[in-house]
Amino acid sequence: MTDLGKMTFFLGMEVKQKKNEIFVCQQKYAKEILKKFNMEECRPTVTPINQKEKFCKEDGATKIDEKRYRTLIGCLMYLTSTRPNIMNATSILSRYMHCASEIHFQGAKRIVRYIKGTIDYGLRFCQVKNFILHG
Amino acid sequence: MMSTSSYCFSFSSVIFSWSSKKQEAIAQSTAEVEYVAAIAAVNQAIWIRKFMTDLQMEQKKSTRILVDNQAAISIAKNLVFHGKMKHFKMKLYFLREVQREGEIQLIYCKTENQNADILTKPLPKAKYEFLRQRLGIYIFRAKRRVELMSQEATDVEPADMDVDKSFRFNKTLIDLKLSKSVKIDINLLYFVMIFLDSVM
Repeated sequence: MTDLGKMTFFLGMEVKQKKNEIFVCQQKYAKEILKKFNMEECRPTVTPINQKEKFCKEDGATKIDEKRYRTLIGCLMYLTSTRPNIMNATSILSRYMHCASEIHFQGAKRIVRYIKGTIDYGLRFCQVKNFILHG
Repeated sequence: MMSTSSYCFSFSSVIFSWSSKKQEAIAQSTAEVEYVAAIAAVNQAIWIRKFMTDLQMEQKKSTRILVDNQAAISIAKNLVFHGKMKHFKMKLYFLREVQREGEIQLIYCKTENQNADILTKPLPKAKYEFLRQRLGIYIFRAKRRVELMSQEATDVEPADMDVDKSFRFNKTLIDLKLSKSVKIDINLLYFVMIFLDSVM
């Protein structure tokens, strides 16, 4: 067994270790998503989901390629492991995997646009003195 | 319309265990929604406490869970039967038992301070950004720039993590990965990360 030094990359997650903190992010993976869905040039948004927008199963909009929609949702689901903040938006959209329409796909693309705006965000684990669990 | 329940746990810095799920049953009041969500959180808390004990980091104090609904807390605390809760399932009353034992405490917090809100509903920009920060999600680069500036100011050499520590850290992760009998999820992995970080 060889010592490869500090862990920097694990299951697509970038781990940056410092003295008092560990920073975990998926910047590279997020970039891959943008590339995969040809959204590298999109306009970033500040929130992942429109507050007023309501989704429903039969919205009358044209149905789209379900495979592509599911791929996108799957990618976003994996991103939630370092970004709990897009969890809600992703889980709402994942409810329409079987009947994806243009509107749902636009919603999913909005999350991607949000990611574009916050590409280098991640979780920062700091050292704490009192080890008390909060809920 | 079913409601979404969510919870998150942290060790006063960043959240490491979270969930956002649609509830199984249709709740008839907000208190019921919060109560069911509290149960999900309590179950997770019990598991984490157990896990911590295995890691020789027993939590001596009772775990505080913040709930943003006073009615839900009252239902869990007072052994009073109320007309509005006559349809509750028996299993939901397990929360009272846990409270009595003192392992877990439900505490009221204002809706503005409820971190788990970000996991249940779409929020306006200002609140979203505030809560995102509360969860411990930051930009890496900006932080670094600030640090570099402070380092220049104080002229302190950046101390590296010693090799032995990081090696042990890697090894533990590999061990965990290899042992298939132990079902690990991503949260557990984070948990180990923070744990190792604070122990060593």
